[in-house]
This record gives sequence, C-alpha cells and structure tokens, in this order.
Amino acid sequence: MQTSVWTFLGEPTRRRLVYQLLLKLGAEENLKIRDTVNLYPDFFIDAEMEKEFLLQSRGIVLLHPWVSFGPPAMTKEWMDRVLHRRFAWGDAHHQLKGRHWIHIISMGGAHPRTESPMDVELFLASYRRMVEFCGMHWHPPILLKEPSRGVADTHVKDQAGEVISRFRAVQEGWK
Amino acid sequence: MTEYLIQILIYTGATAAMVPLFNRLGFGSVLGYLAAGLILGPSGLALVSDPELILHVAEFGVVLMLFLIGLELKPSRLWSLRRLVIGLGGLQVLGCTLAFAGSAYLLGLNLAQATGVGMALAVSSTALVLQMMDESKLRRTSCGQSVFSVLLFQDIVVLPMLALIPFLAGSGGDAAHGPQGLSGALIILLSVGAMIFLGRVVIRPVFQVLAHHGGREVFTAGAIFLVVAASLWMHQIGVSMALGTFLVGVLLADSQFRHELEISIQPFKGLLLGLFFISVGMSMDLGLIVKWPWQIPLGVLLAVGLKLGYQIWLGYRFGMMKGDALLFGLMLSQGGEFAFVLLGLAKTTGLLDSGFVQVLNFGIALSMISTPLLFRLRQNLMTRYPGGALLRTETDEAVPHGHSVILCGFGRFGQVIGRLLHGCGTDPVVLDNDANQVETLRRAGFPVYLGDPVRTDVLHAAGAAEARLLIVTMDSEEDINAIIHQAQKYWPHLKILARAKSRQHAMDLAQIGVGAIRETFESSLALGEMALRELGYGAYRAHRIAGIFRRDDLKFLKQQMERSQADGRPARLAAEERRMLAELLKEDALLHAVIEDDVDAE
Repeated sequence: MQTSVWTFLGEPTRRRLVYQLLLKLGAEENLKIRDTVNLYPDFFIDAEMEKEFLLQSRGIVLLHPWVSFGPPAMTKEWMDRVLHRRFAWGDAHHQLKGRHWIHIISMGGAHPRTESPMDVELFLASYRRMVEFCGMHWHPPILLKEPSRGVADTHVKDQAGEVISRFRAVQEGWK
Repeated sequence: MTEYLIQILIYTGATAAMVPLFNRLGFGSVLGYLAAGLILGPSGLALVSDPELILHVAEFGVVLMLFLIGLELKPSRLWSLRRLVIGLGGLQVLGCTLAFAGSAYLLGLNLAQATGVGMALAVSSTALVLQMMDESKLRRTSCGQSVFSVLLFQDIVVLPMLALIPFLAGSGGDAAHGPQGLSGALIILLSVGAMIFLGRVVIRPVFQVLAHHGGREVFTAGAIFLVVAASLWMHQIGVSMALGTFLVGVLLADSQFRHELEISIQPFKGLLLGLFFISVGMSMDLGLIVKWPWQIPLGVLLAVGLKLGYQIWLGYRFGMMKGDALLFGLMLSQGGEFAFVLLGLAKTTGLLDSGFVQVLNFGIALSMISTPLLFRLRQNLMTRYPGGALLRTETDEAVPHGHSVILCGFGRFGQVIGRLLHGCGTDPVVLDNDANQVETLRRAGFPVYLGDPVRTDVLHAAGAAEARLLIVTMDSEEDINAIIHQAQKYWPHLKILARAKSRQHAMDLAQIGVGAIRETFESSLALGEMALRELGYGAYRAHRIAGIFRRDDLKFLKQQMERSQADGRPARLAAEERRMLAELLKEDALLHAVIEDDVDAE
C-alpha cells in the first residue's frame, strides 16, 4: 500500500524548503501527492474520491503551513467531509483502522514567532483525538523552518534531504 | 484583350515556376522573382515588350506594402520610433551619401554629379528588405525595427533629394517634382491634417457601412479605392505615393477594420510586389556585363562592402548586439528602387549621361541580387557556428509582442469572458463579425476587430501563429466546429477553449482535446439553486446541493463519453439521445442519497 501526501499550499514556490521537499517527495517510491487546494479551488471536496485514496494508503500525510497559530481551515474542512460516520467511525465502520497519520508543517520564515512545538500540540489536539477515534496511529508532526533569504539553494536542498530522511525513518515503523 | 491575357500568362507562369524553385533552394522568393525577370526580359527570352511600363505598374505594389506596414503601426508606436528614424536613418543616409559622393568625385565626376550619385546609392530597397524580413520573420524584432526605421527615413528623404537633382543639374527647380519652399511644406502639412480629419469623420463611418451592408468584394473595392485615392492625392502635392499611403495606414491602425483591410489588400500587394521584382530583373541589360565582365561586379562588390561596413559600425554605435549590427548592415547593403527614380531624373535633367546611368542601374539591380545571397550565407554560417558572437542576435530570445489570447465572438457568451480578461489586464484580440456590435463596443473602449474568424486568414491576421490561447464563443455550432477545425490544422500549438452548444457537443469537443463549457448548464444550475432556496432550503444547503449535482453530472458526462467511444455508436441518433437522457434521470435519482451523506458530515 502506498503513502499519500495531501498538500494544502496556495503557492508552494514561495516557500523554498517546502518546494524542495515537494520535489523530493515526488521522487519517492510508492508515494502519491494530492494538491488538495488546487483540486478543490472552491473548497468543494469530493468525499467519495478522497475516501478512495484514503483506502489505498497505509500512510496519510498532511503537508500544510501554520497560519494564524493553526493549520489552514481547509485541512479541517477536508477532515470533516472525509472522516465521516459509517466510513471512518461508528458501528464497526472503522475502515481506516490501523493506518498511520502525520503532519508536516511549514512554520514560516526566519523571524521566530511565538509558536513552540507545545503550541502546535495544543492546536492539533482535536485533530489527534479524531485520528485516534478513527483507530489510526498518530505520529508527532515534523516541523519545518523556512530558511532566510541569504541561505544558498544548495543548502536548502540539503535541508530538504534531511527532512526526507527523518520522514523515511518514521515510515520505517509503518511497515 | 488576348494580349493582356498572354502577358498575365507569362508573369504568373514565371512566378509559379521560379519562386518555388528558389524557395526550395533556400534563397527566398525575391531572388526567384528577379531570376524570372531576367529570363523573361530583353536580355533573356525577350518575351515582354515594354519592361519600363510594367515597372511603373508594379511600383504600386510598394505603395500597397507601405499601406500594410502603416496598418501595423499605431501613431503612438510610430512616435516611439522617432529616435531611430531620425538619428539612425539620418546618419545612415548622410554617411552613405558622403562616402559614395566622395568616391565618385575621386573617380573623376564633378561635385554636382558626385552628389547625385551619392544620394542615389545611399538609399536601400524598401520592397526587397521588407519582403525578406517578412519571410524570415524578422520584422518585429528590435533589429527589424531599426531597419524599418531607416527605410522610413529614406522614403521621406527621397522627396528633398528629388527636388535637389534638377538644381544640381543647373536647370533650377523643376516645378514638376517636389514641393516648392514654404508653400509646398504648408500644403503637405494641411493635407496630412485633412487626412487625419477625414480618417476619423469620413473613412471609418464609410467602412462601417461597407462592412455591414456590402459584401466581401465591396469592402475590398472600398479598401483599394482608399489606397488609390490617398496615393493620387499625395502624388498631386508632391509627396511620394508610398509615404502617403503609409500615413493613411497609420491613421487606420487602431480602427476596427484593421484586420479586414489587411486581408483585402494583402493578395494585391503580394502579386504587384512580385511583378515589381520581376520588372527589376527584366530591366537588367546583360549586354553590359559582356562589355565590362569584371569592372561591374567589382564595383558592386566595393559599393556593397562600403555600405555594409559603415552600417555595421553605425548599428554597433547605436548599441546593437554584434549579431544584430551585422544583420542591420547586411539588410540595408543594396541599392533600391528609389535609386532608379533618382537616376532617371538625373538622366532627363542632363546631370548624368544615359550610358553611365544604365551601368549604375545594372549595378543596383545586381546589388539587389546580392542581399538574399548574403543573407543565405549568414544563415549557413549560423547553422555551422551556432554559438558565434557575431551571429547572435536579440531575435533569438525575442518574444513576439501582441496579444496572447484570441477571443472569437463577442456576443452574450464572449462578452463576459472578454470583460473578465480585460479586468485582469490581459486584453484579448476580439474578433466579431457583426459590424454594429463591433462599433458599439469600440465606443465603450474595447479592442474589438471586425472579422469572421471562420476564415483562416482572419485568424492568422489576428496573430494565431503567436497566440497561446484561442477562445471560441460563436453562436452556431457549425461556426464553432469550423474554427476549431481550422485552428487545429494550422496552429497545433494553440490551446483551444470553446462554448459547447449541448451536452453532446461538449462530448465531441472534449474528444478532440478542446476545453468546453456547456453554454446553459451553469446558468440553469444557478437558477435551480435559486429555486431550491425559494422552496425553503437554506442558502448554504442549496449551494452544496447544486455543487454536488454539478460534480456528479460532470463525472457522468465523462462516463458516457468513454462508453460511446468504446462502442462507437453514432450518438447523434435521436434514440441514442433519448437513451442518454433516461440514463441521466436515473443517475439523478441517486442524488438524494449523496445529499444525505453530505448533511451527515456537518
């Protein structure tokens, strides 16, 4: 079974590290990327289609920025539409049971803001509850810091490579 | 009568035989025409009796060409070229005149004669150069602009030159040529003013009527009338015909008839220009080369070399890249048709004797042959040394300017698209075949052109070769399909979006790779959503239901398409359509369950 990455990025090219990471993810074996924002520019999520993808995936990855001290609203809309009753939970309908769930979060630019991993954990608490409620395994999110402008491209690529190895290490535990 | 027909037979036959041959050999059509002329002329098969007369008729091709060039240059664009026209053009003419006059003086001519020869040899051939640049698609590049600017300046400066020749001959001003002093200048200014006025007040409304009430031929007749009238008028006040029609062209450059005019005049220009080159070829007296077998070629070589060298240096000084400067010098290195006129006048006024003029004319015609050959040589070098600095030009990276979107049809459907794009700052070229509609929209400030996009030449004139996107919104399914068929055939790179008249039409279009939107689907759906709200559904719920309906309908459309593709049944049959509708209704019955699920998720 594959790993699927749902991205919630309006303009991925504006975030250098995220962009490099996307390029590397695209080259990973047995991994599919769903550009969620551009699949549903009107937020009109096709739950049937998404559920099909979820069923094919052992690993479920949400790649998104951190805005207004939280994930973008579309991640929540997506979960609300997709992880619904009689599919993901309720009356022996735990069809996603045993799968693995992880967030990769781009925390933004060079100026450190007040978020700490604690804040992230705080906000994602409800996400985690839902994921575990559906019988899936929750993995602590991978947090990315975008490099400042002066950092060379090669360095950013190296950074993306490190993130990929961390991600692979997490994936090892799924098999 | 038969005599004319025989003449037509000879010219068209020679054209059809020689031009494709020379094109095939990679020398371009101009050389083909010249060769055809050489064969037909008195020195060749002597099939044509009076080449001089033909030359005069054919010169009108140059006039038409300048009209077409004018059509492409809006006044604002022309104004932006002023530095190149006056600076570069002025220095080219001045430098070359001085150089040639000096050489002629050293060779023993007197000062007046040397000046006359210098002026005649300084000007280049507008007809030849522009034709070559069109064929090699160089006109719109920055180098092409510079070349054109110089040619424009030469066309203007020929007037005072013509006035000067009788004066040099010592016979004083000849009233037959050129405007006289202040009053002459005043007449020219007034005429240009009157032309601008007439263009706005008379010409546009008249063409409006022609386009709306006349047929295609009537419009063409009107266009030719306009060009002939303008050239006669300008000739009357002593301005060159070509310059006069060029001005008229500029005045009409931003009118809605631009594309239609271009298409009407284009074939005449092509044929007459070909005839012009043929007659240049015919005028060459090969007896001269027998008489001076090495002197004439050497003279031409030196003259072309001199021009080439000076012009390359000049272009380089004007900040061109090395490759561009080379191309600029090469393009203008020949003598031109104005030299024939100037030398003819010098002969009749007695400034130069006729034997000498004949030799010069022969040399100039020879230099006109040299340019396509030099150009060909440059192309060869380019393919052999693709990285050479001397050959690299800005044209290699030049992005063709103009519009990237062509919008066909500006009725109820096209308008919204046009407004949306306009609002985003991407003005499309809009083509519509309803003259009234076009006029109204132009008043509102929309860049709409009159033209029937079903015709390939109209699409071509609108820039289909360079555009990225073609949007077809015509009213009839037949027109839509015809346009798409043509566009896919001639410009396969063009992405096409189209209005679909029906569900079936949408499927047909999708199958040939065209992005299509059913013309009534979205609005019907919006009204359906409104109806749901009237029935008591909340706005959000009604919107969700409409959205689900759209999504499922599109999915089902795709399924139906794949199925009909698979079993190859002619979907047009009424029975087949009924079957599809029944399927649709059955599919819609499932909507209820999906909506239930949707509510569940909230």
